[in-house]
Amino acid sequence: MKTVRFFFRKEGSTVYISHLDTTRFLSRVIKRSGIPVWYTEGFNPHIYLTFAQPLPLGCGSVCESFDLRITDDNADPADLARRLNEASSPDLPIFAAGEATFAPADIFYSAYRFTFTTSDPEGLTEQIQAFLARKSVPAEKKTKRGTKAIDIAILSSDPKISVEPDGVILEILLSSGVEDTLSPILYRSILGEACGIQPECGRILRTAMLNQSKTILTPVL
Amino acid sequence: MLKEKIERVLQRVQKPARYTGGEFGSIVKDKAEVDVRFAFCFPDTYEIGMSHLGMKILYHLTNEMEGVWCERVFAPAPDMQAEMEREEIPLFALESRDPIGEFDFIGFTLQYELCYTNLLNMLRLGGIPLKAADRKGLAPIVVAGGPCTCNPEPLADFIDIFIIGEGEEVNPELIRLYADAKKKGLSRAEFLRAAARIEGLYVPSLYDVTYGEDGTISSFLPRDGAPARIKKRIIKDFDKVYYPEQFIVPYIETVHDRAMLEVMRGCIRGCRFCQAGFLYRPLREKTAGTLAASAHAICEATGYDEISLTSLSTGDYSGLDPLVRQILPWTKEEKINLSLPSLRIDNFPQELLDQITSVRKSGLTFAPEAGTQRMRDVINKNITEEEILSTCRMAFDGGYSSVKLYFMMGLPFEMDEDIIGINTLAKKVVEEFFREKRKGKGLSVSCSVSSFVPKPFTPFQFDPSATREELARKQQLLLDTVASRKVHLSWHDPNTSMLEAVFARGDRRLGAVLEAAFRKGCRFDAWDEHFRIDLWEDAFAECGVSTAFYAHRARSYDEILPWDHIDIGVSKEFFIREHQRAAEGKTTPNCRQSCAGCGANKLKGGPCF
Ligand code: SF4
Repeated sequence: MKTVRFFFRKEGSTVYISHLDTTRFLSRVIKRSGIPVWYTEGFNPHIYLTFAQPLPLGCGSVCESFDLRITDDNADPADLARRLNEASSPDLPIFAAGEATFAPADIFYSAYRFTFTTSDPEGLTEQIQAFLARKSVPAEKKTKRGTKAIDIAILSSDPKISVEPDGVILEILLSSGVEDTLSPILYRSILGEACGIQPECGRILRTAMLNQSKTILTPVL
Repeated sequence: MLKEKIERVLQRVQKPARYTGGEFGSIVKDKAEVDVRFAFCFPDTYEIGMSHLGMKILYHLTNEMEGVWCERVFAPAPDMQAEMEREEIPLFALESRDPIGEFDFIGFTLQYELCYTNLLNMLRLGGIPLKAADRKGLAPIVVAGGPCTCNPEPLADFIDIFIIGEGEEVNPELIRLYADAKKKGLSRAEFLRAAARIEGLYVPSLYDVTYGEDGTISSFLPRDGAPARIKKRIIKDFDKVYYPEQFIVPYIETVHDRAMLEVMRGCIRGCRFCQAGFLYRPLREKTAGTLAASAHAICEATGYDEISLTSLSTGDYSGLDPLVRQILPWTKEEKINLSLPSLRIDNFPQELLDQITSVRKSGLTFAPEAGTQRMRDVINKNITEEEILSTCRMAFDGGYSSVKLYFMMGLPFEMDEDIIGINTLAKKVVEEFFREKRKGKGLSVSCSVSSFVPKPFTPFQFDPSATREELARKQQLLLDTVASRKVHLSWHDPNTSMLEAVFARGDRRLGAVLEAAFRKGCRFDAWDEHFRIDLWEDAFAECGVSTAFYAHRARSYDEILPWDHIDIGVSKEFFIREHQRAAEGKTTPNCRQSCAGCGANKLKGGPCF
């Protein structure tokens, strides 16, 4: 038995499915593909599927991953990935596989790319720049045990703004550690509010996951 | 532009995956290579529509036709509708995200009467004229099928063509006729007249209705060569009928999200309250071999890990034992669960039962339908108290500790004893549990008591439905006589049942009421949180239509009923005979025991068994 890590993208329709629904979707992909996967023992056997980190509903990604226990030690990861990809939907391509080189706890940051459609790119760029210049942006984050006061300015870093034909692009690292995850959805709504734009005008794409020293852990496209 | 607007709205609404399309197994074709586009509309939410087997079958069947693309459309939830209206997004089909107004066919499946306002709402959101008479040009043709079309009259103003009978049999013919008409450049009127000549298609605009002084129908006459009666079409060789090997696998959880196997169509039982039992006659089964092959193919194609056997009464499927024996080995191997109907537990080989039920022990559901033997004889629910209790005993022995019992109230010939009998029976079930020392402490017996609604094409089609006052009184009686703390009672809103009773046996004059209620904002009437009886009552009052005339009036045997021109194969004489037997408390044997001469065998062209 060996553990293999698979990387996938979420695009098109799969942007709109929750983490739980993604899990169920992938279980069925695995079942359809027929790859030699290990099932838990006992009453209700199921596939053992673990993720690097959940992605909120509404975000696309090019760097998601899950780990699977494969019962055939000689199976070639690239071949397994190909079979999974064939059994998946075009909106959720499974594009790479290999060893599990990092643990979920190694992830400290996620790199996100926000695309804001606007009729006034210069104006919006200025507003975003002003927002980014703030030393402190207090906000409230919903947790299981109520709300928690956080500072968005501290939990985000390394912003880059550019203007492209489809809108204003903001690339930024958001804290993604076990303790202080900042949801890109929350970030977008607070930024949107500050800049006077509808939050849904911004598409969100997770482009990478990084460790504590901001080295990219996930495949670079 | 439209696609961008849709993406934006998806970021705002609840459960956006209801509207994205793109699910595994959904079919996308190249528009340039398609001659006929069919928008298959389910007038309820995605989760409900995607659980519906008929839609799955017809979706794939239609898409197997060369040059035809069938897409899905569901009723948007209120939050989505508000966003669509704000952004001016017309109702669109999931696969292409094109507005339904661009389609050749807009086809609705009508599973229950309380979805009718959703149908109007969907037409309006699609920018389609509500009234059939206001539609110009050949496309779009608005068609409707499903069980409610056995009395299509309340929707006669809005639907161009009703499909009477089984879609697998009729739809391809209708679509081909249309493709041909499009090529020839026929007008809408010409096409509709041609369609009316196909058996199983009903074009309501080709009929004139007159009413007598007492409000009942005095004549119902066809024009332009349309047939006087429209005969139901059925699949004769059910074992060979088309069945998809691929299901669309939804992203989000739906009501039934598993591999469904339709083991048979029709039912042998003849329960007098059950419309489906008569509509789908005669009984036609598939062979175990066909089903086993189907099951394997579907699981392989979808990745589902659960199979359910479906039909009106799967316990009566004669091939159950060989079927289970054929599929058990590989389902175990591939870790796929097989869920079985509970009713058959009493005569199913124990060794197989042990293997199947090892997983799910959560709850058992069971439908005695009435509380006393006398009442069960009246409705021809041929099950005895001893059978009910012994099934519960087996379930308790097998580790179940919660039982859900389904009953009805407001049945014809019902007396107060029959209502009290529901509680008496529930108490006996509780006693059955405690007859032995059992581990499972948390016994719960829940009784769901729905209000009976008389339906066309049943022996009770002649009977008045109970008034709201009567139902309220009986519900109170139930509460007053509940005999055990382990018993939990629940029932339906009598207002909802009244509305269902009106539309089930309504005629064309209800079209105006329906439209008025829709314009006042009625939607999702089957959903308690959306149902607005006040708006409905206003609509009836404005149109001068009496609900009592439709819901609470007894019909004589010789009245022209609004659905008399629909021929489902079962004769009116049979329903009269059955009605008389019900009045006498006499049961009728099931079709396997002996034929009661209902007439449905002529659809098959030979004896049923
Ligand atoms: S013809 Fe006889 S056997 Fe066939 S469905 Fe009718 S009653 Fe049953």
